[in-house]
Amino acid sequence: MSLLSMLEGLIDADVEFVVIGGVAARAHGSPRITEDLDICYSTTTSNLDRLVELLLSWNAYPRGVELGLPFIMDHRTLTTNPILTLTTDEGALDLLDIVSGVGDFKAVRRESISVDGGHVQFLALDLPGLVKAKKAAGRPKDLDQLPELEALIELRRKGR
Amino acid sequence: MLAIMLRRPDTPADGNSPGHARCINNVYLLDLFMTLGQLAVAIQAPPKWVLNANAVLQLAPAYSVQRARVLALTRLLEQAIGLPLKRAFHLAKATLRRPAEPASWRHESPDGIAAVVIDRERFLSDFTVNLSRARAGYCERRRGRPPRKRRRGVAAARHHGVDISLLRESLKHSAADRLRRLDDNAAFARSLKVLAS
Repeated sequence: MSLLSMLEGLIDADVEFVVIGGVAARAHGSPRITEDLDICYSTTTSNLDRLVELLLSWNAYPRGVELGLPFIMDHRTLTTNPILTLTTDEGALDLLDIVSGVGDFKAVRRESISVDGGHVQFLALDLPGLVKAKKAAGRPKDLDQLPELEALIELRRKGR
Repeated sequence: MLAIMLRRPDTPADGNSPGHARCINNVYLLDLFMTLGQLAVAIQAPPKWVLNANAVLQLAPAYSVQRARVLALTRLLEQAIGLPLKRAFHLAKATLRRPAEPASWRHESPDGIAAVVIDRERFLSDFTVNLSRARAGYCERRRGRPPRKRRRGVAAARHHGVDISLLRESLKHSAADRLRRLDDNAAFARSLKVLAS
């Protein structure tokens, strides 16, 4: 159970996704700790098939609600709910088909860069994209992270 | 979310349980109530719609999981088949009062010409997803005009209280190293939570 093993699982299952949120920020240099993996996924039928199969094998269930409530993990749940906040055997996973401030999967992929995470290689939303997403989300915890992300952009541009 | 102390909730975890119970230091807390914003997320409606529905249906502004479930179905019936709000609300209440079986609800006109069928499992599944979003992902938005920014980049971050040396230190490592450390930190945070519970 770890963020990296979750990433490995998604890659092994051939799921098309881009990492957004805290893990992407960490990959770009943020020292913040996050416990959940946020991804934006492609909504093609074949990708949804692979994602549903993987989530079923991970016993995905909505996070923060009591166990045993009705929950169907299938295509329709993914297509009718733009954001899923899940807990899985591998850890907490948030799924988005559109990232506010950036756009759908294609737009998110355009603003992403490849990250070498050691055992795993994946796409992550770049720092300007993360700033746009945080601004659009507008929640206090997102706005709180903005100065740090903007500082990282400047430090990276200046070579620290 | 307001928490109420209970001796022990013996509520079944089915679609009709009143709230979310968790135990901290042998005290059971029942997350029965939510904010207007959380309820709006749980029923997939703008907060304005909730306020208007409260006014039309003469409901007290008390936001609970049960209220959210009824309003979610009310909104669905109003939006999907164009039922007037009051009729949709009464139909939703009647529907949710029925026993959990069968898997779908069917309301027929007396002459059998018209019928409304609601997929119970699907409705409650979607409601569970939205309730999870309301509980796990929702934060109240900051009110008022955002502060005017006079600084940018590193200067703004320093003024905000960010330790720039931490950022510089972090940037000295590779992405792989940062992610490996994040994994270690997250595992440690999880173990602390397990100890605390």
